[in-house]
Amino acid sequence: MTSRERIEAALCREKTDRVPVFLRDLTLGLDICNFTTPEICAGSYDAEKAAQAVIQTQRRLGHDCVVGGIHDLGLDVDTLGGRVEFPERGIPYIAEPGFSRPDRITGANLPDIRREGRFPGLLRSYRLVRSAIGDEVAIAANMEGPVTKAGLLRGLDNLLLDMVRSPDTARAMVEFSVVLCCAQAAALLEAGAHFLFIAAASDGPAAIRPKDYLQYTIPGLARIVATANERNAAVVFHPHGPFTDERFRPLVDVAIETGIAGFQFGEGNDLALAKQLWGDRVCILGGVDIAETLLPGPRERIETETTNIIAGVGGDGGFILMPSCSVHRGFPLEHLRAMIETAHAASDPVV
Amino acid sequence: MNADVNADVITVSLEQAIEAGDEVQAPTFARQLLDLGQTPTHIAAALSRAMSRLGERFRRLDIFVPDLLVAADAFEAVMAIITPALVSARNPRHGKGTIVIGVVEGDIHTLGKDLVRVMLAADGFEVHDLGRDVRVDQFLDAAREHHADIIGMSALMTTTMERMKDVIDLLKSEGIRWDYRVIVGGAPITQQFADEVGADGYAKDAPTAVAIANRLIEGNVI
Repeated sequence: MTSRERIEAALCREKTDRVPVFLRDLTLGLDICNFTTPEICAGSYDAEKAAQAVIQTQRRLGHDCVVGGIHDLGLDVDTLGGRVEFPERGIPYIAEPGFSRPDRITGANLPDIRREGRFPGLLRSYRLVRSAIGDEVAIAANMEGPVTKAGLLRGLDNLLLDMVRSPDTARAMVEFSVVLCCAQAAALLEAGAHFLFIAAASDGPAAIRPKDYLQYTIPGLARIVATANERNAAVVFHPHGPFTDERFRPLVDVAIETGIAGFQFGEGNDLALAKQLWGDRVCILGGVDIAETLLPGPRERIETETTNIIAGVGGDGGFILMPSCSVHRGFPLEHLRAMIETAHAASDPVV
Repeated sequence: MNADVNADVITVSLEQAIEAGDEVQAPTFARQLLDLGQTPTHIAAALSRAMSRLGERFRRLDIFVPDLLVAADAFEAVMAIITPALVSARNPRHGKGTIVIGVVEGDIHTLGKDLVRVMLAADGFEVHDLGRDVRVDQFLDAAREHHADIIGMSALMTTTMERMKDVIDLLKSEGIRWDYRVIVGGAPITQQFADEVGADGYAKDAPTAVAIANRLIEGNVI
């Protein structure tokens, strides 16, 4: 199987020749090519260098799935009145959200993501990556979930207070965000991504109440999934929270009912239990805990944890091994290599 | 109803208002308590009990971040009323310890730090919030200026957490490492990381930060 076939089969819950690996490396490639952060991300976004960073990283580490560009959380913020900072060797961050004043939400216009700001550069990077390695390697469109996107645009603390004190403001902000997410999903898939990966750090009980999840996240997720399905693309959903805790399991069920193909479980979840509970309905994604294991190491500990995860979850397909969340520049490459090499060795073959 | 009984009822109402995040009723109850002759210390103790219960419920995930945020707003509305009296009375609660706290350079995720600030203040610490994107040298300057006992640092990103080590290294190079205790926290931080950079405490959440700060103070290691 090619890497792409491996990922696509896993998303269909089919058996694969070995457990596929997706790093969701959003800015790691900057280190591989020794680019500064502003060199690619600031200004109009350097698509050629971004694509080069993605491709070189995949060639160096051999993972099965890439994100089609160097991704940061502020890709659309500057076109919406906010401000993004670009540390020389750090990760771009939103210094000023565009909608910190709630009166800016009503009547706000969506940016033309194909022409304005940095997003057109990101789309070009996806096209370049697709053209260079897209036949062999799966390409994920990394994008934010409904509340996560709204939190970035409004400021998360503002949004969470809105949900309690000013629900109309929260609804308006999330609605704007969902429309933007759907437009970005369509554009990223048209630019060459094979599936959507919805990164949703603020869309689970790590940030919001279950009732907010049901009110804001799920309806928005359903619309993003519909946008993807119209283009025959699968969707993976990655909210943060202890979803294998009995109290929060229904939140996974309602997400699956929207038609997602995969669910990535972050830290603090029991992957084997997740496979048992939902593995017949959705591809399970997840893996090595970044803070506890993958970042600090050592290599032997990473190998052990990877082996244990695969033994517990990966045996019969329908599983994609990942770090527990995204990885960025500054991350020890040898630690990622240890996870990938262990996965290749431990899971060979499962057909 | 005599004044003491009335004060007891209002104190309970104040605690309930804090837990419900009612930023209108909570200061109203606080003013009523002052009018009844209750001390700012009495009110601060009520705030502390309410925030402590909230912290425990948050730890059990019976409540969530939005619930804590509205409670924090109600708490700060009451603190704005009683702080002048607390300070002028040189209240012993604020003798508990002084903490400077901030989000490290390159990181702007303030939500967790804000909750820690409120919980520490509720527990009787004097807290100086340096905000977000705080340079390494600013932590030291603030610690010196406020005669801090503890420096608290927060980071949400793996790329910025190394700044915590920079602060501790600077404390060492300045020869003042043991003038302060250092607590670190934030999503990517672990006990192992805290040990590696030489921090004195690791707090995985706001209630733990309070417990660690108390342990460091009560341990008389400062």
